Amino acid sequence: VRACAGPGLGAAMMEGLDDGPDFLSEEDRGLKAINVDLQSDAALQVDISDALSERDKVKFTVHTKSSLPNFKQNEFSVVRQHEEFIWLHDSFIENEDYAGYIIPPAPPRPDFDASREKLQKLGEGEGSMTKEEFTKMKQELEAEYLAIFKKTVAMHEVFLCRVAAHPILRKDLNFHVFLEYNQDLSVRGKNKKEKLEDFFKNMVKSADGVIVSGVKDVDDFFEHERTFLLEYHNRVKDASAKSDRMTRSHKSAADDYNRIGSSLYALGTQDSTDICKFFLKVSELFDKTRKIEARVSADEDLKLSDLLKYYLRESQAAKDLLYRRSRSLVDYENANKALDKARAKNKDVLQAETSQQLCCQKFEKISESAKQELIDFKTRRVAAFRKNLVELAELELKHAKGNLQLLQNCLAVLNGDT
Amino acid sequence: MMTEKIFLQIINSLRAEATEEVSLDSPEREPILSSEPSPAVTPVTPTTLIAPRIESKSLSAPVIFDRSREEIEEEANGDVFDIEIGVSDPEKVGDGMNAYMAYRVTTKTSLSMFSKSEFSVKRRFSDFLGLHSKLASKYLHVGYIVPPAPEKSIVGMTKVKVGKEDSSSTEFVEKRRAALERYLQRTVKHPTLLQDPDLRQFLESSELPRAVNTQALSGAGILRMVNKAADAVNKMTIKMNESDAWFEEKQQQFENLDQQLRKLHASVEALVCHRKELSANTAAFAKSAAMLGNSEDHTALSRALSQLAEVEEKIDQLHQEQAFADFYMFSELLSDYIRLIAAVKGVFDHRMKCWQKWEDAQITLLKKRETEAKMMVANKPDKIQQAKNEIREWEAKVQQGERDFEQISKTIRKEVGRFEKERVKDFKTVIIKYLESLVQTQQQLIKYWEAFLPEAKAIA
Repeated sequence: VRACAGPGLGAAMMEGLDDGPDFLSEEDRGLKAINVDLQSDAALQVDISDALSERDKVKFTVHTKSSLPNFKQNEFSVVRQHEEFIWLHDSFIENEDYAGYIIPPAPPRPDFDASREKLQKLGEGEGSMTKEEFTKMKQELEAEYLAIFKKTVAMHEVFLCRVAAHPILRKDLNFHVFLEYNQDLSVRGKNKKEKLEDFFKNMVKSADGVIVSGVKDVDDFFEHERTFLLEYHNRVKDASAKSDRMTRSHKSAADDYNRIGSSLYALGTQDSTDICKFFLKVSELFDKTRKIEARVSADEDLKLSDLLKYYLRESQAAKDLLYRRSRSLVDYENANKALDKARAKNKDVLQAETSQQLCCQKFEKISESAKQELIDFKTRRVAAFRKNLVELAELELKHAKGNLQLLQNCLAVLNGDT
Repeated sequence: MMTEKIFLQIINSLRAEATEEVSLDSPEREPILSSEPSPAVTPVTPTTLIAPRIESKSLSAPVIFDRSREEIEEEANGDVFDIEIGVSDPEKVGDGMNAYMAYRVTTKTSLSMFSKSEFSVKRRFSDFLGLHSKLASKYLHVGYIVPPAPEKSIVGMTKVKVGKEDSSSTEFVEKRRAALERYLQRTVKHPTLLQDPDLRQFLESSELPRAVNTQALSGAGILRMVNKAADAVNKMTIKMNESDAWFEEKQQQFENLDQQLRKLHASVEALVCHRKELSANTAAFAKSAAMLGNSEDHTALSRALSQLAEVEEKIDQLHQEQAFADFYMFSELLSDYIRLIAAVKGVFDHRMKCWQKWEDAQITLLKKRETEAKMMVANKPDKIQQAKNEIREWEAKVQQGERDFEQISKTIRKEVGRFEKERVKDFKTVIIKYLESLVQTQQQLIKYWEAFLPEAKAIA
């Protein structure tokens, strides 16, 4: 991943990249692992091979390798922006044929505002701190920026991989255009009117959702899934928020270690007694332990917070699927009633019959694919949680052991001196 | 030349007087008579004539010369000092706004200046303040660094008085108890202060006259504030000709140290705050993860999530303990030293005032000599005699001023030396202990995650 930003950050960003090469690979593994069955499928492989961060947008290089006859070449790349991903996602949602599938959730918008603001504030406050402190904080903020950047790349990539792995969605024409058409798709973001329409659509949907979910499902499987998903979604939402707060506190504490290290360093260089060496050694310890604590916070963010956030979005997509099925059931029932009425009046019976048959077919088709989708969802979910929880535990152990060794080494030196 | 025996007798009788005064008055708690500091074993003369007797009741070798005194004191600074103070068992006495906390002060010692080797008394916060006030009035102005007492807190105490049994008032009481303990430990470590009869009375006497003048809003309290303000103004106008670069250097060093410590203290306080936040957020997450585990319909994953919730709960506990260590070891050490350095600065200020007094005496002497010359010219015999008398008086004062100034300078040099040694030892000991607490936390973390890992792997 190449990350170049606007004026002022360019060279520094490149430096930041060298800091911890394994950061990227762990992250990649982490987010890709959210959907474990997305691995090597020679027919269609999609990834984001490069990314460019400019002042207010990110440009992703989408790279495709495919043996399918649909494409002109076997390997090719195009540049896409966030809005184009959203366009693709929305086209799936609006496609009636896909009503029976869990539509992979859209990647969140790249948000560097907070990070940029912090960097700006740092620049303004440069005069009020020592050169050392300034350099330290700058490095920190740049690392943060880089981390957010890598995350957004990974989330866009996961979306594409999910689509590529889905037996039906991977054949979608829009998807192929997205992958292959090497001009700008001229997809503009929704204007105000369209956004308002969307808003009302969602409102109606949730109001509908209340009505529709009042109907008890005859099918046990779906009844269970509905109960389960409603509760699960809420709990994942809560866990995701709490996990976020926990990781952020962790990071704040790590930042404090930074300042403590700086203060100890100042004390060590200024003191007149033989405690100088002592302070300098402890200052060094705090600097090193701080790096580890920051990694702990970052890894928790990745393996726990991001996992939960992703399944928040996926469980919403699953809920949407259930809603669409319920809707089609209501349509089917309404068509039945209409047919009965038509037969009673003996008017437009054929029309009513065709309509009822269509509704029946639609409902059964959705039910069949929905069942499979929901079973797959569970499999994916369990696998993803397993992988991430194992990795989380392994990383926590690695960091705790690293910290322990640091502390014990430092204590040995300090005790040896005194 | 006095023999040490006679000197001792005088000291002992003085001490007896003081003790008698106390026992006479304590039943009625009559504050006026005995709350005054008992006559000090004058600090300027070798107080360590009465060196800490360890094994036998007999005196150790008499020391009259400064050199030997220094040696004895250095020895005393080492492991010969055998006295341990503990402050414990805070107990609420009384009700409503007149209530107060009584603390048990336990002394364990093999020093034979005390009548027993282990004893304890009950003291309240104002007793500690009273002790400090007495010691300060006796020793500060001659250059001894008297450890400052813990700070008052009207808000904190009101909560306790009103009877709020919540965690914040328990925390407040614990914080105060620990601070009082450290205060006493520092005070007894000071070889000169340890000899002071007021200190001994504080540690030993079952009843202590109540020190009312320590109340913040009392007449004496307000007087103190006014004096402090006046002092501050005076300090600004004293322009001392510093002949000794050592003092200027040291003052600058302490100024720097003060600044650095304040900065570090602020960062550590932030750490304590964030650690507590982390603990609260971890607990909240643990509960949330447990709920998630409950609603998860895959059995093995559900179990693993519940295990995760348990691990996070235990980690929350760890964070709380670590925050405790962050505060009581690191943060409080720093705030103690910030106040100690204020006391050191105060001692330097006293030296300046001493110099000013000497300077003023010299100026007055000059004026008296001028007056004498004038009288001689005007030929007024009785005025001449008066002038001569006044000259003698002021010559003596100039001499005394010079002696006092030299003495305080010498005392400060020694005190600063001792203070720096103590500081180094203190910081090293406490910081090492703090790092060991960090080690413990990491070891526990390893245990918890090692127990969880197989659970996560067991998800099938």
